[in-house]
Amino acid sequence: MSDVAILYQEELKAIARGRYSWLGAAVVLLAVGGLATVATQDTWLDGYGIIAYGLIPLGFIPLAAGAIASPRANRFVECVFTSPIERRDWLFAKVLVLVTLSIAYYLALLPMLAVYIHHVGLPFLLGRFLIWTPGIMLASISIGTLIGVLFIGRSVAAPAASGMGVLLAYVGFVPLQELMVARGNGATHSGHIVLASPAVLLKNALGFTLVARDIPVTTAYTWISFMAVVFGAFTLAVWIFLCAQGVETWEATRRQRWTISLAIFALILMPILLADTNYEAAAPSPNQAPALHGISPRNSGNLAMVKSGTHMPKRCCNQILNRDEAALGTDEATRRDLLLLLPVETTQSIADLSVRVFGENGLEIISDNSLPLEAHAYDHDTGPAAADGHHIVNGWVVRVPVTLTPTKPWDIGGNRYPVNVSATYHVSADDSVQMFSARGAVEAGVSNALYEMGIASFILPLICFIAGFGRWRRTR
Amino acid sequence: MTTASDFAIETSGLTRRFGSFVAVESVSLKIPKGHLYGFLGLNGAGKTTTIRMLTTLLPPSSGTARIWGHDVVLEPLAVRGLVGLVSDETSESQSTWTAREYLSYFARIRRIPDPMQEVERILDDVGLDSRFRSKLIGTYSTGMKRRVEIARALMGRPKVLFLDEPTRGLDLPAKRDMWNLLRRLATEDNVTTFLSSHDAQEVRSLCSEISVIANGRIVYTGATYELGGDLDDFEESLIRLLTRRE
Repeated sequence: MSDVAILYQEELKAIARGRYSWLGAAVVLLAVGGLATVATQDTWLDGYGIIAYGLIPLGFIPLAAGAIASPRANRFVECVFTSPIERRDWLFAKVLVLVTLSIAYYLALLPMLAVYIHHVGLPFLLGRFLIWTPGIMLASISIGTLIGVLFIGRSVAAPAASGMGVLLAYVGFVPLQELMVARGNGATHSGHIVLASPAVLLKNALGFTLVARDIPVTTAYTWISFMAVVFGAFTLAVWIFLCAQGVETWEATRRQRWTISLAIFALILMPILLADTNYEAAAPSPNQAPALHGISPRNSGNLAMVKSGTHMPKRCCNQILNRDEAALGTDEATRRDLLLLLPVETTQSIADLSVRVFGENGLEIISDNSLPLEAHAYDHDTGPAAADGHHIVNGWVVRVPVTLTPTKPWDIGGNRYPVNVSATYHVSADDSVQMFSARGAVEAGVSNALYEMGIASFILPLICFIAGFGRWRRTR
Repeated sequence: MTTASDFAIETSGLTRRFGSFVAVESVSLKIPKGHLYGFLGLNGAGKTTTIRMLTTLLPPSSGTARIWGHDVVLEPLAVRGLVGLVSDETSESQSTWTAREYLSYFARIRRIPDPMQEVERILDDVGLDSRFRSKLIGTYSTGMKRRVEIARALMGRPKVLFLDEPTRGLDLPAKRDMWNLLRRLATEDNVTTFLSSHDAQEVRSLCSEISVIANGRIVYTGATYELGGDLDDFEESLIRLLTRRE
């Protein structure tokens, strides 16, 4: 077995001996899993995906910086390098351990990923996240290693804090870039600066966005910049460690010091100056979610949805028809009453009422033929507007019993299916046909996914807790 | 580059500068194999810097140093295979490891066959009670920690043992135990011991030959008894050497 392999094994075992290693891993995995479970009730890729696949991988910057700097800070290297060990083998083994940890984190996401894919398949954005994450972790380990190598001292605080600072900048640049691109400012000076973040670079290179609608037309220079940052930082770290430093001391010549300074500047400036900023191509849709034209959670309409036989809610009527109650279960039939708020006073009679209800994007709706009319008194001008512009005070409401079956979900939570309602009727003695149309949406989610996600996300933290407890029992 | 040598440690004009500050200047030593050698000096005199150069932890600015004929700069791996180092506080850094874990790490990276058996043997040698071997080092007394450090330095049966203030912070019984251990290593295992200390009594008790370093320069090399017949005379002579103005 080679020296690197032995060192790798021993350093890997050493990771598990840290005071809070198992507990820390359990807490991180529990937080990630808890977030995955909570986000199951919402749009999973936004709520959970960005944090688990984007933010936490960048956490490998301070982690790598601390892992490399710590043995010099606590003088463990004195023991290691008075053993017949090459410094390059040790550094290589340490980096391999960090890569292993990153792979372990990636694998720890698999149970939640499996639940998600089982229910809704692999949408475009998740497919891109699955490539984005290892790329970010690779960049983070390279940059973190460089930071860790640069600090020789008796405290790990300086490299860890520097790593955190870089992490915060890189994380902050992601929404900033999205915002700038969304406003058409992706190619401004500030738009160039945000490209210093490998997360932004790789996002552009992979051709996806989180909210912005545009991506760069070309990606060649973006890829070159990303590779230069990753491999440049790692090469520089190795060169400094082996050629410009001793075990615990800087041994750099004046020329080497200048080389290091210029190389660091080059690593920062290269993506800023070189990476593509021609945001002129349309970003692909993150998943199969339909465009909800004319529907917004901020809008109100003339359509309400209530549980069968219950009264119209006091606050009425948001376009997301079930915004104030639980989401519907996908692939299961749910009975509800749709309430059509006709702009007709109860002083007038309604005849020849005909209603048509249909859903979009996989929402199947079966409506009853019985269409009972109910009188409803509106408070404070909240009634629908009549043809002459006045708000109805006492109006007719049509109750349409429906059975809703949302199918083909594109996310495990937060699926919004459009609902269209149109009606025709006559008012009193008027011969003309009156038209009513309304558009809203119902929110639906995969029914058992919450429990499945909860179980899937608890397995690994539990193993970590047990391992940590076992070690505590053995060594106390 | 291997050279046969009669000396365990041989330095010539060994110098180390930190910027414009000269920490160790032109140190030349010849220490025969199997000796327990004392290296005395005040705090900041250059003792630790010298040891760090001799154990390949710090490259010299100029001069040469050889351990059993191997150059510390040109053959660092060969040197590392021959030396063991006990510095003052290293096992504190791995306070969340047990003694067995700590020592097995070094047994494995030194490719010692049957590492766990060797770990137990060395822990028996240094006298660490078996009840504590699977407890965290952070829970040990200072004396127990020092035993673990000595055990780590003895891993791989080194030919030269460098001890930098090995009994600092130890109470009298623990210090006596340590001295007995060092004597046994020198007499039974023929280990050359380079003992750096500012404790005159310790060095006088253990070492027949010493060097004294002051302000980075060797100011005395010779037999211990030549500096005084009793501890008082020895300390008087030592103080004169250590505080002598150029």
